[in-house]
Amino acid sequence: MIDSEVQIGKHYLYPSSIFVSADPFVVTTVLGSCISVCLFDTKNMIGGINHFMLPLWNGEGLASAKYGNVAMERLIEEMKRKGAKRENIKAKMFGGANLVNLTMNVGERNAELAKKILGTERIELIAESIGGARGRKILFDTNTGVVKMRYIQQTHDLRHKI
Amino acid sequence: MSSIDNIEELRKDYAELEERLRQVNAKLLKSEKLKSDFLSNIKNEINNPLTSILGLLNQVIVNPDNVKQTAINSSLIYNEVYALNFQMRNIFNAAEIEAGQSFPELSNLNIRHLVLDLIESFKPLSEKKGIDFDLIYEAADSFVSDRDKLEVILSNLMANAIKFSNSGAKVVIHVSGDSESNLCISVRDFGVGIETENMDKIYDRFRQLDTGTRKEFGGHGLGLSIVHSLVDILDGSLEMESKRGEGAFFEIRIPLNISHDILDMDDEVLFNNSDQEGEIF
Repeated sequence: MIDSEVQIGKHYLYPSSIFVSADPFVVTTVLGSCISVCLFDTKNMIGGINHFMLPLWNGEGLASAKYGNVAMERLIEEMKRKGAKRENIKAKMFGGANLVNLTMNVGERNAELAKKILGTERIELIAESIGGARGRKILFDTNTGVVKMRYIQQTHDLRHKI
Repeated sequence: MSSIDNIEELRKDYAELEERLRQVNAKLLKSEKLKSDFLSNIKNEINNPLTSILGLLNQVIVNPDNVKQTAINSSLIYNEVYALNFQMRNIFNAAEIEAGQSFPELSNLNIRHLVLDLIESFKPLSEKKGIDFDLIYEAADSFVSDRDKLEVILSNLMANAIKFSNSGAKVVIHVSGDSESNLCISVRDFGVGIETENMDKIYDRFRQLDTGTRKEFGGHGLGLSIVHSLVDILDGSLEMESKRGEGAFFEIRIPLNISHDILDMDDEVLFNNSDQEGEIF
């Protein structure tokens, strides 16, 4: 994946944020019940990714990229602003695990919402790894759209650290 | 359904919309008023410390040989600059929040150190009022969270606790964890407290409960609204209990859902290690 001729940047994507770049970047993020949607336009070599926690912004409080509807809209907008064309954009989607029973299947609802928005925007979803009980770590190459993913072992230190 | 029914329904919808519009408008007018009050208030908050800093510096410049005076003035200047810096940070934070530009920035941090540093940095203020901080620490030291935001949240809660305490009182800070792997930090004071009917107003921006409060205690009314928004950005929750005359209790719960071991893992090692199942999409 790494071409020694080209300087590839690294970016760690935090929850509730968005990253879009026309330069080659490897974006890393860790997902539990959150969802990341990776969009890329391979013709124009532009890639972008979001990381949202909750499905819908209900109009109260801040319209932040923590919410799926806001995060999806902003990601698509930013892709277009950087020069991506909708008809070239493909999508891959990751996350949405149900780590804790308490969260009312927030992972599932996050995934549903992202799919619905991709449908309305007529963006093709070409790969996904959704649900389950384990978290995921992904590495997204913004130029090629290639995503490396691995599951995070349910380590006790995550839950019982305190 | 007849068309008359339809019209009746539309009329109802229309009336409802109009009412909602009226409410939104009233809300906007109110926030506009709060904002202009805020601006005139912030002018004082910045002017007062600046004026006293200038005066104190002037004394030092005029009498450079008076070592004792210089030492006293330096510590007074430090206090004023500290207060000013605190106000400015709050204003910038509020602006960032309002612009939707405030995101969690996670790093590995030592919460015990953070709290102890804050208690230390508030010493000039707390000692002036004879207030003692009691720290009860029942959690691990090291977590992954957003240092800056936690610092702003805690320093606002602590500054409020000092501000609204009677002199010689105690402020109790309790750091613990809960079963859902949240970090819980509470700040309790035994000061003037908040009346029940005012409780839903305390997170409003630019709001201090009455102008009397402002005159007596100073401040710009941004603190708790910033605390509220930042806790929200960190996906946490904020709870408050209070009784007039018996003090106030604020507790934040911040989820710690990413272990630093995962953040620190080397990606190449991660994918080249055959024990780890990796997939390529």
